[in-house]
Amino acid sequence: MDLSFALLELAINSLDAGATLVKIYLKTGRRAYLKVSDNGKGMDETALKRACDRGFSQKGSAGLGLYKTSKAASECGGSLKIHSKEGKGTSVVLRARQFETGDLAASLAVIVDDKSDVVFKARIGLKRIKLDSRRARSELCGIPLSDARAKAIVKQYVNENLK
Amino acid sequence: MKKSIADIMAIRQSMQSEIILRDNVDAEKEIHIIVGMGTCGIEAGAREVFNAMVDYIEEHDLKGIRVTRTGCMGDCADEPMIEVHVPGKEHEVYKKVTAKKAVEIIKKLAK
Repeated sequence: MDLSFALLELAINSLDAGATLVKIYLKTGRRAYLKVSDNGKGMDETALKRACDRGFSQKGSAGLGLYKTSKAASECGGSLKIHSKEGKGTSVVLRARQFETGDLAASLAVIVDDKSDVVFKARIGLKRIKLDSRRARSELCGIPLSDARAKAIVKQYVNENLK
Repeated sequence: MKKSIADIMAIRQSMQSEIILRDNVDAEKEIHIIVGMGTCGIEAGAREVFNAMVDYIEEHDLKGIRVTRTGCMGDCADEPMIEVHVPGKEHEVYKKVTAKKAVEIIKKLAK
């Protein structure tokens, strides 16, 4: 499975749940570990049980994101586990044995914007990277993170550090 | 060697004042492109469409075009879909957009 797409799916879920902070941790070696946690509106127990069901959605979407991501994780020798508390937030842990990292920069360029903050930490083999949109915002001296130039800088930063 | 955001910014510092100026003055004239980024959109290539537009805008230093994402646009079979909002005009929806088509749309808007 492509971890960069899984990251995008999960982070968008967090942002759509009203999160003001999304934390992403990715570690890959022989296995992959991806954790996306947020301070969004969370889920109650009923929703949590159905979260990965095909067609279940709390945001009026087709309800395919978590269904497909969890299916892909189990097909790749891993799993997808969700912890959530209503009103507090959600964290999703994805594990996989067969995976590719994919284009992380392209996914991060999409999710980094001005409405919420994203903290991305990764250990890809021997490479380490940390991208904190709060820090980026102050270092970009007024360029909004939704500006194409800011997104290009974010991409360049991620690609340079993971090269 | 690791590059910090500050290092990259040093190369681009010259454009800062100009960008801030544009944001303050021309916010009302800004063209807004919204990319449908639901699961169906992502699978159909919305991320690539989004990035192709961002890259083109950055490479050609185009002013006043903003690209953002939204959720599913409701027509999964026609994804990736984008909505183009030009101030003072009816918004337009493009269906089955590819990275190449997206760049063509931007080129047309930038004229």
